[in-house]
Amino acid sequence: MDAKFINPFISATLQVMETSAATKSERGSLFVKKGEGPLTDISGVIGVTGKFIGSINIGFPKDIAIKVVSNMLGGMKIDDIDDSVKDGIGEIANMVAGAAKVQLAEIGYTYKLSIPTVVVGRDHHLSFPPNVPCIVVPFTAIGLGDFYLEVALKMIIPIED
Amino acid sequence: MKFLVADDSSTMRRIIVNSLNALGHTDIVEAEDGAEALKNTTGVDFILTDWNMPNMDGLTFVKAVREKDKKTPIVMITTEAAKDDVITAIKNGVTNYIVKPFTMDTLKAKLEKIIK
Repeated sequence: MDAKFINPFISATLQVMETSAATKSERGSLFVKKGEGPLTDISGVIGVTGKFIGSINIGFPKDIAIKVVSNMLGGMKIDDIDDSVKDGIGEIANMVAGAAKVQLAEIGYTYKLSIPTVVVGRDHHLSFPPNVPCIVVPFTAIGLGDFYLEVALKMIIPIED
Repeated sequence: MKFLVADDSSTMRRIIVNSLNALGHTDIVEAEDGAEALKNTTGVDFILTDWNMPNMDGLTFVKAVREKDKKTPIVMITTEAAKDDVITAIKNGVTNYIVKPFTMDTLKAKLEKIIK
């Protein structure tokens, strides 16, 4: 997958985490997902249709998810993955996919977003269809730990450079 | 002043409601989607709505409101910020646009300016 399709999702993730959740993050080295990918405790998944089909997933360990959503809600005390955390992580995924959509639209690649789905389960991973390439981008939320963005997209309209 | 806040995310509704509360506004009705919002427009002076919602999306909701009501200000608070999306929303009756993500301080400042 061309970097020009991945970079908007990376910059959107950094922007959403900092702006919405007051959490500065650094990206690691991306890799192609093969087999079971990074294990997380809660994932926000957005389906994509249009010139791309596939999905965007942002997955967090429990403690980071709780801190991120607490920050979104102005420091509200949260002890476990409750409804507010599930909803908040879904909204993070929605904002990441939405912010990337704006950047990709500027270079002529449009898509529509589904309503977020949130998956909860200790040390889970998400599988994608074998014909849809999935790029994993690890991030480190500074002072908190690692979380992961997975971009699994297949272009269905030919690219014209 | 009575506000209607429509967003399928309870987190986002809480952020918006907290921001309105901080500005001194407490008469607020919440809705989880456009269909629920449409049932709660009576007596509302100001509408804040998301775009991407289940059952009835924000744009369909705005169109339905504008069939009967041309005046009530409607602010779209959404990630749908591509140029064509903004133009579509404004053509269909949205009066102001706030793009997610934002900090609570930014949201408060923008809402204060728009409400005034």
